[in-house]
Parts: sequence; C-alpha cells; structure tokens
Amino acid sequence: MKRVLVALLAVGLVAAAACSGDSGDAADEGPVKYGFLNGQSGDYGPWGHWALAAAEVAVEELNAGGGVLGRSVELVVEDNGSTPEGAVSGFAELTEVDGIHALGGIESDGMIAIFDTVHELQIPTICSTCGTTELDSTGGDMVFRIIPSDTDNGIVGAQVARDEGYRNVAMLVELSEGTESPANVFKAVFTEQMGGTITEDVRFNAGETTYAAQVAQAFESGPDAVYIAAGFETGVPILNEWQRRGYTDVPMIFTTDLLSPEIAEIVSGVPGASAIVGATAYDTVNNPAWDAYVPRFEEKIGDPPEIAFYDAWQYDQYIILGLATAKAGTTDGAAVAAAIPEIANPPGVEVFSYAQGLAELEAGNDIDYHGTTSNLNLNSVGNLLSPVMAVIHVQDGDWAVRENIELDPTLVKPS
Amino acid sequence: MTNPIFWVGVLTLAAIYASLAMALNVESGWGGMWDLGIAGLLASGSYCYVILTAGDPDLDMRFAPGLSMWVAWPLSALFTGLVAFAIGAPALRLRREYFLITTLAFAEIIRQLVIIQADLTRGTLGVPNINRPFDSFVTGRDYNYVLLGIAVAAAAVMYVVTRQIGISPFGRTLRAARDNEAVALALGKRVNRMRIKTFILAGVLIGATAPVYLFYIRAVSPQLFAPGITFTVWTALVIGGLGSIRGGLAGAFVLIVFTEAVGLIEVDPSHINILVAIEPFLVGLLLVLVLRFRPDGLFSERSAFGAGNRPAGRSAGDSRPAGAAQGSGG
Repeated sequence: MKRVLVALLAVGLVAAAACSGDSGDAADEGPVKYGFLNGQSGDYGPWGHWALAAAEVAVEELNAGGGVLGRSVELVVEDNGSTPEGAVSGFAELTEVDGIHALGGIESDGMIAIFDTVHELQIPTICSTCGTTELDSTGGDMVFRIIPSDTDNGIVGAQVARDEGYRNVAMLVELSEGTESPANVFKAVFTEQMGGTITEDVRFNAGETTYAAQVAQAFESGPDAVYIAAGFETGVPILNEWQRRGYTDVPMIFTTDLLSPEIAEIVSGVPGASAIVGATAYDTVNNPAWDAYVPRFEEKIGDPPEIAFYDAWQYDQYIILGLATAKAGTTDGAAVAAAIPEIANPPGVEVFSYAQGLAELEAGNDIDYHGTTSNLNLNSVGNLLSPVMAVIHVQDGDWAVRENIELDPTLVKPS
Repeated sequence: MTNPIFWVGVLTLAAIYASLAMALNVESGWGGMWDLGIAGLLASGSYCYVILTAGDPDLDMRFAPGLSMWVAWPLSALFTGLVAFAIGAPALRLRREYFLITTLAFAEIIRQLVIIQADLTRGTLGVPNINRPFDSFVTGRDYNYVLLGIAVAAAAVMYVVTRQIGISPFGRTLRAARDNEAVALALGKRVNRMRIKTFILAGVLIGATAPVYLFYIRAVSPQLFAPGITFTVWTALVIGGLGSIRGGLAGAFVLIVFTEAVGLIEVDPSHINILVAIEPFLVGLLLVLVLRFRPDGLFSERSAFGAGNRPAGRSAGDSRPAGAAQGSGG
C-alpha cells in the first residue's frame, strides 16, 4: 500500500508541475490564439516542417497588419503524432490548456476523431489537409475545408486520363485513406462515366520491402497509362522499380502526394519519361496572393513552396481565420464560424491579403478573400465550390504547372 | 492552474491503458506468453462493437444491425476471445521469439482484414460518430467526467478480476508453469490447455476494454491499431512491474501522465521539431531509469505474491516467455 501511495504521489507531482501552464479559458484579453494541430511526427511528419512554416508566415502577416481585433495573434502548435489518438489528446491540450479560439492544420483521420468535439466546444476549424470523402456532406457550420475533396482529386485524375486519350489504365494504390479515397473515385468515374477499362487494380501496403511484383502486375497488364496513388515515401521505391524494369515508355498519372521534388528528380533522370502528370488544386497563374506568398515562404524556409507539401493551404486558413475574426468583431466561436463563408464567398471586394481585407472591412465593405490556392469559395457544407485544378508535369527536373483546368461539371461523384 | 478537464482526459486515457496493461499482465506477466498482438485484439473488439452498434444507413455498411451498446459491449468481449482462440491455437505451438513474432504478424493480418473488408468495416475510411453511453444526458465538456468514471470503473473491474486470477490456484499454476514447465507437466498440469485458456481470457478482457477506448477516440479507423499501441501497453506494464498485480495500473498512469506532462512544455513554434524529438527520448529515459533503479518495475511480482512463491535463486525479472524451459524453437 505504501508503494501505491508513493506511485500516486509521483504521478500527482508530475501533474502538479505540469499544471503551471496558462488558464484553459479563452480569455477576452491577451493574444488571439490560433491552434495548429498537425502531424509533426509520424506518417505526416515529412510535410510538417513546410506546413508549420506556412502557418507562421500567415501569423506573421496577421501581426504585421496590426493583429486581429487590435490584439496580437499567437500560433499555438501541437503535434498529433499523425494519429487519431494524438489528435484527440492534442485538441484537448489546445482547448483546455492553451485556450485557443480557432483551429487549423489538422489532417483527415484526426479531423474525423475530433469532429463532434469541435462542434460541442464551438471551435471554428479549417481543415487544410483533409481530403477525406467523409467531409463531402458534413460541415459548413463549424468545420470548413479549403482543400479539394478526394472526390475532386479522383474526378480530376479521370478527367486528365480522358483528356490524354487513355482508354485502358492500370492502378497502383497504397492502402491508406488518403490514397484509396481518390483512387476509388477515379476508378468509378473512369469506368462508369467514361467507359474506360481498368486493366489491373493493384493495392499494396506502405513500408513493404519490395514492390517488384506489384509494379510488374500493373505495367504488364497492357495499359495505356498507370494511375498511381501513393505517399511519396512509397512512390520512390515504386519508381525505382519502374525505372529498373524498363517500363519508362508507359505514361503515369500521379495523385498529389507524389508530386514531390524527390519524385521529379527520379523521373527527370529517365530519358523519354515525360508523359507523367498529376493534378492538384493550385492556382498560381495571375494570382497576387500567390505572388506575395512565395518570396515570404522562401525567406522563411530557404526553399520555394512545393506542390505536394500542402503549405499554401496552411497559409490560407489562418488568413481566413484572421479576417473572419475581424469581421465577427469577437473571438466567439459561433460568430467567427458564421463569418468564414462571408469573407470567403462573394459578394464583396476581392482581396488577396490580410491587410487589404482588413482595410476593406474597416471601411464597412464586404470582402471576398482570394487565397494562394484558389478563390476559396465555399458551398453550404463548407467545401470548396469549384476548385481550380492544375495539371502538373515534370520540367527541367522539377514539377511545373502545364495548365489550369476546371472540373468537368458532367462528371459526378459516384454513388 | 491548467483547466481540470484536460487532466480528466489524461486520466481517462491512463485508465484505459491501465486496463489493457493489466490484461496483458495475465498472459505475459503470469503466463509468460509475450504477446505483441495487443493492437490486433483491440482492433477485433473495437470493430465488433462498431459494426454491431452501427445503424446509420449513410455509413453504407453491409451489416449494421444497430444493436444497443449494452448488448454489443459484452459481445465484443466474447468475439475478441474467439479471435484470441483463433490466434492462440496455432501461435501457442511456438515458443519464445517465434511466438512473439507470430502474434505481431496476426495483429497486422487483422488490420489488413479490416482494410480489405471495406463493405463491412468501411476500410481505410473508418467509422465516425461512435455511440457513447449517457451522452444524451450529459453533453459537452461535462461528458469528460462521465467518460473518466466509465474508464476508472472499467480499470477497477479489471483490477479486481486480474487480482482474483493472480491469487487463484489457476494463477499460481500459471506462474509455476512459466517458471518451470517441466515440473508443472510432471505434476500432471495440462500446461498447453491452461495457456490457451489464459490467452482467450486476455482476449476477452482486451475486447471488453475496446469500447471504452472508442468512447475516448470517438471514431475508428485501421490506423488506430498500428503496432505503436502494443508497445505503449508493454512500456506501461514494464514500468509498473511485469508480473505484479498493481504494475499495469501504476505503470499506465505514470507513463500516460508523464507523456502528456512532457507535451505541456512550452517552446517557440519554430522549435516544435525539437520538442517532438525530445518527447520519446524522455519517455525512453523514464523507462531506462525505472529499469536501472527498479529492475522489476515500480511493483515487483515478488512483493505481490511473496518471495516464498517463487523458486529459489530467481527473481521476477527472470520471467521467460512461453516454453523457454523446453528450449524448443519454432
């Protein structure tokens, strides 16, 4: 019994020591606190550095513009370890210990885990990296998504395949939520709405020792092209296998996660392997928000933004939150959430930065924020209304935008 | 002071891990079966509960009977016991590291089955909005206290059950067979049958804990059952004391509270990567320090059952995996 008491005392001491943090109440004074709950370790860890840098660029812009509601803005960062359990405990820490006013940065599986709690606690949340189809029909009151759904990503993949003239496509798909979701939509749209044929549908796990069999199965099924949905850490050994086995004459279509510098480097070293395209939401043509963002991000991190690293969405979400809080005139969660569609959608003066938007709001005008990634117009369930998608290909050793396209409205989400 | 709701959540998670660690202690601490398949058994119980309680047609699940959670909860425990039997029957023929690797492999097989059977489990998409008890009566932040009550009650029941097992003739025989299988066999004990019973029992206990874990997470997906959860439970048990009655309980609370307390260290956002790297280091350091100064964990098996119950010249720290005395390989 004595030892039980000693152990409990030790636990109590640790807890008491940890209790010296801030109050959990979202105070009406002091800085406006925006949470950044993101996988800085674990599966999403490779993106974490870029994501955080973009969020910091946004918060620096908010503070440079005089802060929000005349108060400074603080970015409170919490690592969720890329797990739902980490998201639940990280969200509890952000809300109950740090007292955040709004949340960003979260990924699909973490978002699903905290979805109900977000509503109960009235924490406006912008999902900048949630492709999950689970959010296709829910949200819009407290949760908003500024990245295209995996449904959109699947449809645009099929659209690219059609436009490139491919009739027979093989699929190589990693078994994860973020890769299977767009792949399943791609398959359904390509076969059911375009009359295309899937010559082979190969699914595999991340972290396997070799992908020789899977690559051979897909590329030797006689396809016009191969659709690959995988994380870039899996994509590298797959492409090494593709190169080693000499399948380089078969075009490939990639999902967003594969549009990384490492992949571009591999592909650019293979003569004749130019017909490799990906499609993702990226609005970089004649976009003042993008033009202003790039040098600041580069100054922050030493590298330009990378297409597959989702950083620009991380930036956009905090500019939206800042403008929405300013429009609401309060940090109250329900009021800020109600203001998000108002500043993201027309009518209003189109603005491309926080300072510009704040000036218009102070002048009594409605605003329509156009972000680095798109016009960010939202539908009734808080999803992007019509994401602009960029067709990307390898050029001079890196990914480059070939053209911007809009989703074909005749292609619909499969039931 | 930090908002108490945060610590309510931390203690809830600690109580859940305590239940899992105490269940693991029965098979691994006393039975000597070093099981690395906790995540698989937890996944079995979790998905059984989710499927049986699912009734929302929007989820588009092939089998969604929409049973009451009070019916689904015990059924999940029984189903996990069946899964444990299916794993244990072949795996317990193996010894030492072969058994260990086999259970790890079975856990991954279960996770893959969950992914592949998408029309039943929703595959990688997972299932949101888990049904939770009493959430129509208590909502919002206050529900955290209800959940803490459920988790602590579950841990208390687990403590009582595992303690009774530990001090029962069955428990004594189990430990005796672990320490010297040849003697146990010579005394007419049916060691293999006893081990499979223990493995099933641990499965039932883990399956009974699974819904509580889901109440905490509020959604289920295959990613939840990666091997990391198994290693966390093992770490808690080793810190607390493998083979002791209170070890799993104390170890889980120390580990989870310590981990969350480390997470409260405030750093500049640009240094978050350093904190992220330091967190596992500090947890590892805690484990090393415990093993250095208390090799048997915070509570030793010797103190739990008395030195007289152990063979002369051996300490609890000498516990070996199943069949070690036989020295037979896979």
